[in-house]
Amino acid sequence: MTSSVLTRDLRGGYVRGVDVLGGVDFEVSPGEIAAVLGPNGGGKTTLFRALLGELPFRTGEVVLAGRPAYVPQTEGARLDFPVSAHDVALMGSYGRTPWFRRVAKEDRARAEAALERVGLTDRAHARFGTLSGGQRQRVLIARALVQDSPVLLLDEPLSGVDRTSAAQIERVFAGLRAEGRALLVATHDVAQARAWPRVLCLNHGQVAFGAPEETLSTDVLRRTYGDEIVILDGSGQAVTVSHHHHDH
Amino acid sequence: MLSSGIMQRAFAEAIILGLACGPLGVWILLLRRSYAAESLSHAMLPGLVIAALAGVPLILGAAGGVLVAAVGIALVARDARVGGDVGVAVVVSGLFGLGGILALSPQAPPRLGELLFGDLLGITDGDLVAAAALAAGVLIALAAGYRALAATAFARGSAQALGIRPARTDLALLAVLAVATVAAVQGLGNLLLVALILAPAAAALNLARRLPAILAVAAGLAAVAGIAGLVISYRFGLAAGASVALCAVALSGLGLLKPKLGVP
Repeated sequence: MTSSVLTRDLRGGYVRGVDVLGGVDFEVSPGEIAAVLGPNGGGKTTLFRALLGELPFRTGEVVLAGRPAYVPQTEGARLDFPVSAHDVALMGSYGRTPWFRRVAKEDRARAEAALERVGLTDRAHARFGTLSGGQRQRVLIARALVQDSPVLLLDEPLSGVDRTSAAQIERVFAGLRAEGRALLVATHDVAQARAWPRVLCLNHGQVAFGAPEETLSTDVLRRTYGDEIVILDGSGQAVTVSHHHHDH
Repeated sequence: MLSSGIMQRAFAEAIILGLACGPLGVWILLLRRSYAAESLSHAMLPGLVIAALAGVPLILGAAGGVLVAAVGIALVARDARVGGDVGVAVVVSGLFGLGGILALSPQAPPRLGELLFGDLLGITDGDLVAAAALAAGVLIALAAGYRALAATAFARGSAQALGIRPARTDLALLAVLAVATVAAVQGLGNLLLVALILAPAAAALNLARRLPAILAVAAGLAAVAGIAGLVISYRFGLAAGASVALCAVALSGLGLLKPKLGVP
């Protein structure tokens, strides 16, 4: 089976010679979901920009099954912009619509289907800015669904969203995997990462990649986050990684 | 009032300019380019003055002036020590000052007022045809760029992943703005034309909910401002361009009052 996303020694950054990404090697197969873990500024968004071909300076190899769809954090979209949820979902078709044509009928149907899939059919004509944070995140996911890409890159889609939205988003992820699409999901949530088949730990370079049960050791987490990480363990108690380490 | 050719041409010019400037203004506001709109029109003054001194059509001077301003701004903005806004401010005040020196020299014909405030009543058939062609070009470009402009203004950081090029979209909008500026300068002058671009758009953004409706309302308001301004200037013997600009601002003021009026 060929991989959906593959990088070999991927390096790069915004300024020549100053790499934010230092040597990233990983592979995600169709139907797999990989968590991308790392501290703020650790290179998660930079990796996505490299995969999207938007990083100014880049070396190494990137192989993709197709042009990836990208779901930004909701803060990346303007609340005062005069569009409905349906209008935003339709933007997913802009890339394949020539400037002299109207958006195709099939694409309008795709936008409706995408909104239904994220559970927002009843809010399709609501203005984007009036939706809740979780609903806005789902609209941006619907926009990526309309792009119909074999690879989806999602930037912290589960951070700060309500329970309903999170559950809906997880259902959509499961559906996308069943369709054989590959998902890379940037997240802060280590427990979330453990639930998915692959995890990539970044901290100005690759710390580790693999199945979470083998990869997410205390040592790897400490090298990923330094001392800043706080994990909620099974009892709901907050402990830092370094405390964990000393406990053993 | 409509029996004279002068007034007929003035009305036609005001409506044509309104229909193009209104929707353009919506995109200028949504992409936060009001400063560029204000600056570009001011910076073409030397071009206008030179055209007036040489006796060539103002529209040619405007086009040359805008081109020089755009190149100047691009060159200055490349210097990282200066930065975009400062670059614009320096180039624009420099060019405006140069225009003033040229216009106020003893050899210059006394037409500075016309350059700054426009001359809707002095529009010739040729001016009207040129303005109509440029306005049509503006509207066609805005229609063609609708999706790129919307995706860029909505979420710039993720537009490229949709297959849109935000930087190119920005440049294209500035080019369209330059064309509109050239089209409007004869009628409204380089100090007043900004009012017709920005004021109706500001009101429309407050009056309508969705993008297509907002663009249509802006076009309508700008055309109405043009008509109302001309009627007022005719009745009360006021300067035509200034009346149009004040009407545009007054209409946008009404638009901004909307929530207080309780109109749904």
